[in-house]
Amino acid sequence: MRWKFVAVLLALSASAVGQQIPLEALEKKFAGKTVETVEVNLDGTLLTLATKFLGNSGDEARAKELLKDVQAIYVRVWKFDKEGQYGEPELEAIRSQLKGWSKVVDVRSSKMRGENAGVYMNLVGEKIQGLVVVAADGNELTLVNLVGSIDPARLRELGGTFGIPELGFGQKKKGKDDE
Amino acid sequence: MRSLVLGCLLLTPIAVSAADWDFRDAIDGLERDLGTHRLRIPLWGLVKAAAWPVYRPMGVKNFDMAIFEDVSRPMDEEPRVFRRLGPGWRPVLRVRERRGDQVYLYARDEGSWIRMMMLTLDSNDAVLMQFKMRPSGLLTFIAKTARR
Repeated sequence: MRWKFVAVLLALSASAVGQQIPLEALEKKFAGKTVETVEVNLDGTLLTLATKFLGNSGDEARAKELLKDVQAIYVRVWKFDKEGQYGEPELEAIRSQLKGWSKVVDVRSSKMRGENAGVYMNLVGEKIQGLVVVAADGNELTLVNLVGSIDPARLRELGGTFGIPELGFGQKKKGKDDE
Repeated sequence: MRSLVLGCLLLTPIAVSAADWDFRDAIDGLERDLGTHRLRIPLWGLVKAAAWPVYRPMGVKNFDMAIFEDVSRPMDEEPRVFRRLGPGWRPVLRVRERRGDQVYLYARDEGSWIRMMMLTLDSNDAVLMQFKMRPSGLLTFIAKTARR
């Protein structure tokens, strides 16, 4: 699978605002260097409204349940024409913004071209309040920031949608029957 | 009661015009930015009126579209037209490729509907679309548009 390694950084903080990690610095840093960028911003009333009006059966019910406590979804994908356009300093810059978040998974390849992945979680009590996924794969860097509460075990259900990469956590791969 | 009905009838066209203003303004702005004019589609108004009440993919309504050909000034940054949109518009999706293909989707909450404005650009052509859809359709739309 392309996203062989996925770094999921789960962070929790007291407020929803605090769980949204700043992306402007990275966006500025990568401006003009990428061959493709994807940016998804689903937040505020748009996401609340969209979730609220989902149906109570089938896929809509599944999505409704999955996103019921999610307040925002931010996705950034930066694709470079060759490897080496970003590296450990940039990944470390992301990690440094997640201090205080619980590291759940952190896979780092020793080779520069290798994939890097990690999972960080920030809990308030026993409740997850935010989630960040960082997937570094050769010439591509993906960052997913979910604000709100989501069951990590169900996170992979979002894979392949909203610009979020397929998330493989050693579980059986989801079928492509949801077109 | 009669005055209430009359009031509603009078206000409806105003509301529609206000909603369409952003789209018309966007078209004007794009014509300036892209150095070209909107392609005139013969009987487009008739096609919209005849087809859209019957065919509404994903529950879309109030669909409108403007096509721009022979774009003489391909943009290397986000079109300024979106900066001029009225209040309430927010960027939901941006996809930019260095070779020129770009997609921008902005949305505005309109109660039980969401108004969307989408611009697709390549090195030669641009298409601006505006439509309204049910909020539940937004997630499906974004999920499919940004599918990886």
